[in-house]
Amino acid sequence: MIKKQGSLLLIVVICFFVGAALFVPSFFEATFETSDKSSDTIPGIVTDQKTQSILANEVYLLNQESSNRTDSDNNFSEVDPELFAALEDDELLTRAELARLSFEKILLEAQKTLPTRKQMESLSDAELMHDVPATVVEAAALIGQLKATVDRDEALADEAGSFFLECAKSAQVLTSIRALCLTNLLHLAESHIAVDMVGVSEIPNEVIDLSSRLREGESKN
Amino acid sequence: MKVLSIYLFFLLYLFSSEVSASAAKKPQPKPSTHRLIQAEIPLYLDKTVDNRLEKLITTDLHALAALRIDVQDSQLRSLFELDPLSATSLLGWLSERVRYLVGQAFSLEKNVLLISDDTNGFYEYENPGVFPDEIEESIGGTQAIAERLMLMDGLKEQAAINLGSAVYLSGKYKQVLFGLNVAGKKIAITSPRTGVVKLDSAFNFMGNFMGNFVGDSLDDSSGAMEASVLNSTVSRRAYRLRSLFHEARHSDGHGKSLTFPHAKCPVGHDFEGRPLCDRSRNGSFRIGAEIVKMFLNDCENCDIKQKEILRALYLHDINRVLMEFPVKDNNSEVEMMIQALRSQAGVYQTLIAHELDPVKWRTYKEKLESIETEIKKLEQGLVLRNEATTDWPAAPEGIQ
Repeated sequence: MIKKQGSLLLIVVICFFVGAALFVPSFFEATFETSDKSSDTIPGIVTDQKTQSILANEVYLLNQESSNRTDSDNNFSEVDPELFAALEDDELLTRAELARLSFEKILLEAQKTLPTRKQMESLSDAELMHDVPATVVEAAALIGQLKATVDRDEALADEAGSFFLECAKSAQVLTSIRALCLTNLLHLAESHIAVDMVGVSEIPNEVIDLSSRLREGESKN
Repeated sequence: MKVLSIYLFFLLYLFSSEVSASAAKKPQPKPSTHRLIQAEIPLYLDKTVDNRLEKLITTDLHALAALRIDVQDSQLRSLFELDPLSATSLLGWLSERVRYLVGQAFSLEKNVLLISDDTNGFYEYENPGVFPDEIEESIGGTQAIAERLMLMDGLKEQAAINLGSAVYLSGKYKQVLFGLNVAGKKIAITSPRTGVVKLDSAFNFMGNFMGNFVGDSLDDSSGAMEASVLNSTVSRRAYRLRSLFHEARHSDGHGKSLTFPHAKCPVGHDFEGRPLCDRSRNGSFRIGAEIVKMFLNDCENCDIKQKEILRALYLHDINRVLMEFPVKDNNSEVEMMIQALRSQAGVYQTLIAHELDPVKWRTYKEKLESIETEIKKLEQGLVLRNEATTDWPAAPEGIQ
């Protein structure tokens, strides 16, 4: 009887450990999936202090990267120094300031990512024949994020407009992305009077033509 | 004791359910056989197309079937030569041009066949000896067409390649009939419409963007594949379908429009001098661009980022559809002058070669240089005229 009870107890213990071994990885897997999903979210307006400090750090690093760059073609504006002064003072940022920080961060990324004609020279005909260069998709995604930020805060429209104008004018940038920038500049101009259109005449015909081909028939959007 | 038994049963139940759950998560075996699938359209899949890619294609084509298209768009109706224009008729259009899909591991070298021809060893093609100008310009002359076969197989990191049309071109040049061993069938490539398309590594890849974008997850072991297919973003879906439709257009054309080959981009273009443009307004880049635009126009629930990616995909393709291209002026008077000057130049070249008197030699040399400058000027004058591009005839040659 004791022997029987002992072996039963042994089975129970084994089953317990087997069960535990199966449950624990599932738990970690579930945790991992959750954190992975959260990392996919588009950065927007954040309010908790922890995220603020991470964001501030990212913006600082981006600014450092930007100032270290020697690309003479890049004549875009840098991050507002007042925002960094605020960060150094460890002040709690307002929602609007955080939105602006997010905007500045995306703007810097977009400026860095704009695909150039020179970059295309390093890609083979085979790569360019049917594929779309990664930088084209990346730049488009960042332009989309920029627009989303402007949608939330119209005060940023002017700065976004300047970015689109510089991008559309830049002879180094790939024509398709210049046309995308021009299309967005025109959309902004149609909805925001504050957009500065000085120098728009410098945009060449091929960029205007391409933009018009996109706008043509895009009425549903 | 009773309590202990219940607990034991409970543990055993949990254990068995976990085992069955993990069994379900195990990677599905890759099909080792060829198969015919009904992914809105019938498609023969070679064994080199794994079941994960099959699921992506199937769901992509389902999405296309559900797409709301502007059926009144006369430009689209004319482009696809479809009346009525609808998602269903578009799928029909695709199925006439893409019938067999092969995967990245498919080896053209191992699967190309020389099919029996007539007693002289030749196969009679329609429009014999007529090839598109673009092929000569792009790959260095008609004699290079035979090498195109190897070139196509050697091209890596492409989204897709229309092997059927490449093999047809090669066969037509060599005047022999080639075949392909695809999806367990031996197919005679008697037309560019055979529709054998290779899906290469880039088919499910759209740039390593935002640091975590590596195409739709194909990782079966994590059990995430099903979800990722369902959650596939519209831009990725549009990208893959754009590639399929782009290749589908290469199944069209006859004579000078055969396979709708790409042409060298003109001076000033982003891809100046590279064979990455279309001289036809209804070529592969236009077809691909319009497919992307259809997704863009039916993208009411897409976020701004997705829309911008779709816009960039459209612009990237449409930028390569040339509205005009430089052509040599058909001015016979100027051509006659050039011919006369070339004859004169030939005379002076002979004189220079045989003249020993240095003074005369120098005179001849100066005369020759002046003639060559004149020839260049006249030739430049011939090239300056830009001609508007047109739609090319899409009817295929050969027997389908």
